[in-house]
Amino acid sequence: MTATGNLKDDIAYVRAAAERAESATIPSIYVLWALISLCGFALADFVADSRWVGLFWAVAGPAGFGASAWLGYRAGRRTGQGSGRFGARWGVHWLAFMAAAALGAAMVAAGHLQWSGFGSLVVLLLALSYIYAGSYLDRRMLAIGVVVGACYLLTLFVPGYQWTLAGVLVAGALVWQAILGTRARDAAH
Amino acid sequence: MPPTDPNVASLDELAALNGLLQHRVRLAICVLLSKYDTMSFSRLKDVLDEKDGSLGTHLRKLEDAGYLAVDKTYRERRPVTWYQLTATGQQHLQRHVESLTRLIGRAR
Repeated sequence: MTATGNLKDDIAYVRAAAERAESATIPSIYVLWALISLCGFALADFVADSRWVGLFWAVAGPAGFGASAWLGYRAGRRTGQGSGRFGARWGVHWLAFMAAAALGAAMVAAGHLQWSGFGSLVVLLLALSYIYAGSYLDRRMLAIGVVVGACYLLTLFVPGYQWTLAGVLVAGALVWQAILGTRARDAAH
Repeated sequence: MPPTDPNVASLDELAALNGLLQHRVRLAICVLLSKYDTMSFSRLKDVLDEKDGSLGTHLRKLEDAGYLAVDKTYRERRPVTWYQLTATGQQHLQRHVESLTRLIGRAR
């Protein structure tokens, strides 16, 4: 074999090792957000005052964000592989989503949108965030993004208990991807 | 006058490669540590599918050359050795990868 042939083999070896090291899916984070989404979405169908829904997300959103960061750090220490830069990329991604959702409330304050429409707008932003995350952070997010996108339409056109149904679908998609992630991780070892 | 024979140019590129990083396990260790900030010995062993002794030898060589920083901690009373790529290691890796890219590009 030529010297460059050896080099190509070496690069293939390095690439395979890098692929094996990619274990971005942390199932506990998916399950956490499945629970938060299920409660937060369903709340819209069961409380008369929509301010409670806003209050829930104002508390559960940042708390879930902090808990996810901690779970990510803990998973890194357990697997023996940590990356602050990778964590920061996830952090910036979801902070951008939370900022966009918070700024979307200005449309309601300005009288261009009603609170009922604001909820659907946030779901649309969430779908986009999952699809972008699926494109450049973790491919498992793509499928969740498609489900959340379908839930956006559901919140607009289904007459009764549409938020509960959306919550069940989003939570189901998250749990399903957590299961797939766990299976993929187990298969790699 | 610069060499016009591509084989001569490739030999020059080969000579420019970093000797320490020419072994694929050591190259893989540095590439992985440039992507992830820290990795433990056992994680590197899993990912590279290497035996303890062999991996330990490669890591020691990189550590002796100043490419890696080592930190020893405990997790559930068991020692864990963490490795991190130093600035020196990062520079050498970058130069090595640039030489490799040129070499393979020339061979195409």
